[in-house]
Amino acid sequence: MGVPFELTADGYELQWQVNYLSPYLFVSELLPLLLATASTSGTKDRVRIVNLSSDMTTALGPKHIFLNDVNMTDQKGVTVLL
Amino acid sequence: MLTMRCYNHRQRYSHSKQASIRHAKELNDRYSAQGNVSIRSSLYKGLLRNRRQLTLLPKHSGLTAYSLHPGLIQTNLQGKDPSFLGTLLQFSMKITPTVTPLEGSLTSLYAATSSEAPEKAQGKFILPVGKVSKSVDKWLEDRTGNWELWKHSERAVRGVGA
Repeated sequence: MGVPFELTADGYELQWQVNYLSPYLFVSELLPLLLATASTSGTKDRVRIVNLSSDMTTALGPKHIFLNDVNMTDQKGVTVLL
Repeated sequence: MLTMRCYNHRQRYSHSKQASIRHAKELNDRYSAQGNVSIRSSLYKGLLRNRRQLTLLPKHSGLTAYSLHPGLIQTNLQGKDPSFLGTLLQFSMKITPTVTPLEGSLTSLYAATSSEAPEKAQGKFILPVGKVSKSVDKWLEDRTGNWELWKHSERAVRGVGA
């Protein structure tokens, strides 16, 4: 959390890959099994995916996703005195 | 420069966590029984090993997805932030009310196991414990943005994995 800027071997900013992209891939790989399981369980609420996020995203984060620069290399932020 | 940098990597953390919220919403939109995207879409076909598997699946799957804020938990999550703001946060964690890791798991458990969660909170952002937040509604309602994030991610992981 809040680690200094660093690119992974895959070329993504560390937090983007660890916190979001990897879970996206993980879920994508599991989807066929999850859906097959959901189809055989009698009830509709059996199979669930839970993403651990943070309230901080509403307080300190950007207002949208930077799809053209997910690593946020271009974002200089705001100079704040803290 | 130091303050600018620390503001930035905290922004990047928040950026990834916003994506996590949008991801859960998009998953729920695509695959919950109430979803509008048919699992017979070309995208879904791409996820299956072969077409035979597709015929075995019903039209609606009944999978639900959630995102959540677990609360301020007394772990070492903030310990890796070397910036001044990071140090400040580590200090504030010592003086503000926090919960134990055990208590911090309750919101996740609510989303994963509660019988009321699918009805009350599917696709939504949940706060401790089991409260549906309205603070991110603009992201939840941004169907286009969530779809674009999904397509971006799909391209990003293409060729990776099993």
